[in-house]
Amino acid sequence: QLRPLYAELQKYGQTQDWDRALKTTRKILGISSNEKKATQSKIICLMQLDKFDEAYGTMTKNANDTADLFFERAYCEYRLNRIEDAYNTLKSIERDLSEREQELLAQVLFKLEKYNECVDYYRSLVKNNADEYQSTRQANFIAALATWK
Amino acid sequence: KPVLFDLALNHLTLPSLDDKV
Ligand SMILES: [K+]
Repeated sequence: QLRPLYAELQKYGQTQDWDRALKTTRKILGISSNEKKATQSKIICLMQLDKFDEAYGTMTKNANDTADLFFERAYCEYRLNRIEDAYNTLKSIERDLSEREQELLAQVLFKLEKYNECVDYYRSLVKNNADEYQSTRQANFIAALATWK
Repeated sequence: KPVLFDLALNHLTLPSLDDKV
């Protein structure tokens, strides 16, 4: 019963049709309320739709199913202007940070005016990446350097 | 103070659903 709905959700995710994807997560959770993947997907849909308050509330209400969503939690906090919380969430990760976590941490550090550490992250991110955002990342690095000095 | 480009947002994707479909 859930498989076709998950297939639909996957399709809407691929086409970035977040309104429809959100509706599909609600259908899944209406049938079975403790579907971890549907709960996590719902949060991401809400975030894509700029509903950060609701996304954050959904995380709080489903603490067990969302305990490993460090990036998403920190990004919600960042967008809700809870910058210290975002910093603490990222710093609570007990392993090496993924690239996206480092990218977010660099932005958080900039907002916290911790330019020294921010510049260090950008230096490493610029060096170790070759994706399509590299020139934008370089611009962030330069902006952080210029603001620091 | 300048505002940085938000590159983190580009990394926001659904979890893998391969085990559910
Ligand atoms: K910023």
